[in-house]
Amino acid sequence: MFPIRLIRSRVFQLSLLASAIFGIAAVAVVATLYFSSVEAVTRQVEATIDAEIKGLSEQYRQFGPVGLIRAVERRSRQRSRPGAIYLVVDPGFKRLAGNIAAWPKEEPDARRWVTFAFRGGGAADGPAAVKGEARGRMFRLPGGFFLLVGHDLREQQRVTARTRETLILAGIVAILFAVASGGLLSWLVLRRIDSINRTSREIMAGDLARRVPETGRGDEFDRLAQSLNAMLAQNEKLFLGMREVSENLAHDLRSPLGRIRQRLERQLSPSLSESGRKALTEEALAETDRLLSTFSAILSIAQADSGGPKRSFEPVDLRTLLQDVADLYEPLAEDAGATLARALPDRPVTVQGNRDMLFQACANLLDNAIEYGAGAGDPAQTAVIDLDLDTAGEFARFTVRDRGPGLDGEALERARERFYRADPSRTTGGSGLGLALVDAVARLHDGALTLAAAGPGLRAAVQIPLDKRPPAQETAGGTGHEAAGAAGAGPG
Amino acid sequence: MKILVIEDDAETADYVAKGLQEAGHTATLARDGHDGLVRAIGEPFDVAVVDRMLPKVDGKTIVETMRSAGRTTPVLFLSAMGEVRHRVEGLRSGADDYLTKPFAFSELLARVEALGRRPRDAYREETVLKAAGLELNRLTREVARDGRRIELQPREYRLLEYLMQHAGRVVTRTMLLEHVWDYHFDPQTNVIDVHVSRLRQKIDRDFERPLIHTVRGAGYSIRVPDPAD
Repeated sequence: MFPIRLIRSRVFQLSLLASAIFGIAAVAVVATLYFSSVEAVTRQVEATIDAEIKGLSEQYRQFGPVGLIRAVERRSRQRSRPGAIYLVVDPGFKRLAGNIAAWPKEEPDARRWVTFAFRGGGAADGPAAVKGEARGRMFRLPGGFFLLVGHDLREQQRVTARTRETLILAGIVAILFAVASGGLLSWLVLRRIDSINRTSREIMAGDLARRVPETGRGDEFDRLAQSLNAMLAQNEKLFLGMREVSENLAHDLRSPLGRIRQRLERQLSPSLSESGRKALTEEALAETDRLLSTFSAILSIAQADSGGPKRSFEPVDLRTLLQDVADLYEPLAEDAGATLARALPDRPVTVQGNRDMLFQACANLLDNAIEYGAGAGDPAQTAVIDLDLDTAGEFARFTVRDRGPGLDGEALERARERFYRADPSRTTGGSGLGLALVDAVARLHDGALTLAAAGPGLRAAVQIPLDKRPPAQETAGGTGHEAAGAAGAGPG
Repeated sequence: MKILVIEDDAETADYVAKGLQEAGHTATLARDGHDGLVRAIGEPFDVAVVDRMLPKVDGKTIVETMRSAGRTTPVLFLSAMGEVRHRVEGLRSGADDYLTKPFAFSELLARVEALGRRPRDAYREETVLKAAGLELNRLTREVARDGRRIELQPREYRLLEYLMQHAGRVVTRTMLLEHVWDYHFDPQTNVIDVHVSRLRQKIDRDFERPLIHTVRGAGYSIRVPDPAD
């Protein structure tokens, strides 16, 4: 299995390709060197031969055939000229002197150069058995004599043959190395990729908590693993969130739907009076409206999560907005026995945002504060709900703090989840979506909702980056608060 | 009022038309965008209720065409697309109001009736609004009933002003939020009711005949109890 996978492996193929390209280049370089050195040797041989011929021709001119023959015989014997071949023949090609046996049968080229096979034997010391190939030049002397001066090529041939063998061997070794390094490389890469594959198969099989192992080397595979793991974590969170939301949704919708069904069913009863029927219808309608408002809250959260409303962002003055929310909720708070204490800065605090959604967020916080924070403490004392707005660094922050029982531990941790309710029996009012929506709106505005226990009560703070666009807008300051009591505060 | 309803969903269309007729209006139905556009341009209506997604010609195109043809008939968009941007788009295309499906019929009726009065509303620009013995002076921002001054908070004043502009008609809680507070959002609690009950305290407490009425399942209305005014 491994070899097939190896051959199919892209990394292996690529490393082989790289080795092949490198190999071809190397072969081309070596071959060029080889052939040019062979040629250089050949030229050197030919130059030597030409010089010999010149010398011998001189001998012939001065001393005639006898002088030439003597010179040839003398030179043939000389050890200082290894590989030199001489042959003088008469017009009938009969050997007169020299160190090879016979005039070569090979035809010379136009410049009378010839590469020929020879047998030693002419020279006194030459062993008759010597055989080989040589390069030489034929020369016709006046009087019909022929002179052959050549050079034994066996030594060069041995060298080039050895060079060739070495090159072939080196090539084989190179190919083996290429295959081996390709294999090693592929194995190293495949091992990492396989671990990713394994992880993804395990995740597909349902184990959402699996993560791609990281080696800690900080290489590109680690970086890939890191971003994959980050994505997996995000997906897992979204998936689990989705699952919880749909489970909660099913749970939360069943009861009101059941109640609506009951009311519709009871209306079929013939004994029901007209007013009773009307009351049932109105109850069913009210229940339907609550369901619809749950749905619109879910849709608003989804909308905020999608980031879509960002396109319609505009500068929003949080101070005016909070004044408006406070004006709207003040009577409700008072009726519930609470005082709304505002601490708003004395100048505008501008953020980029969607005013309706920001209003909704703040309204939800006040809704909660009034529902859970008012009247929960000492009934003789009016509960105070603080609504603050300030700026810190590049952020605007509005805070709603009640003095109710507050939240702690897991409830504080999970209060932002959709459908989460601190009361496990889910009998208290509300859809469990209020804070989830505030959270989504805060995130839509690149901000955050933080919840904290505040001695008695809950402190919910929404932090949103200040609008940096108008240069007139100062980010510093914001400490000059205008604390206004609830009773005397009229709308601006 | 003559109301044009352009809606392709038969059930919704019949429900709307029937409801409008029961409320004393004449409803004309158009089942697709083309028919609706021809009628909206060719016939006089007091209000048009237009679905946004229609076969042949979509709602937005209808409104844009109506406006470019100089038709000022108030238009209420009815749409399943409830996102903020859809609302903004719809209103920018020339519609006067936007209602998201599913809706309560009372909400639709209140909005249609509020729209229908708009263009001819000469009294909208009047400086003094009157209902029974109640008078609201928009220049001095003074309110009096049967000659007695009533002190109102600015927000209460605007709430009363809006109710009086639509005297005799139902005004829903959402309409109050949108027009008096100028925010479009879903209150989880009865915030508006508290404001209205405070206003009611000031307007009706010392008088025999109440003027501010709660319309169950719909909203509020300033109504003159008898024609013997």
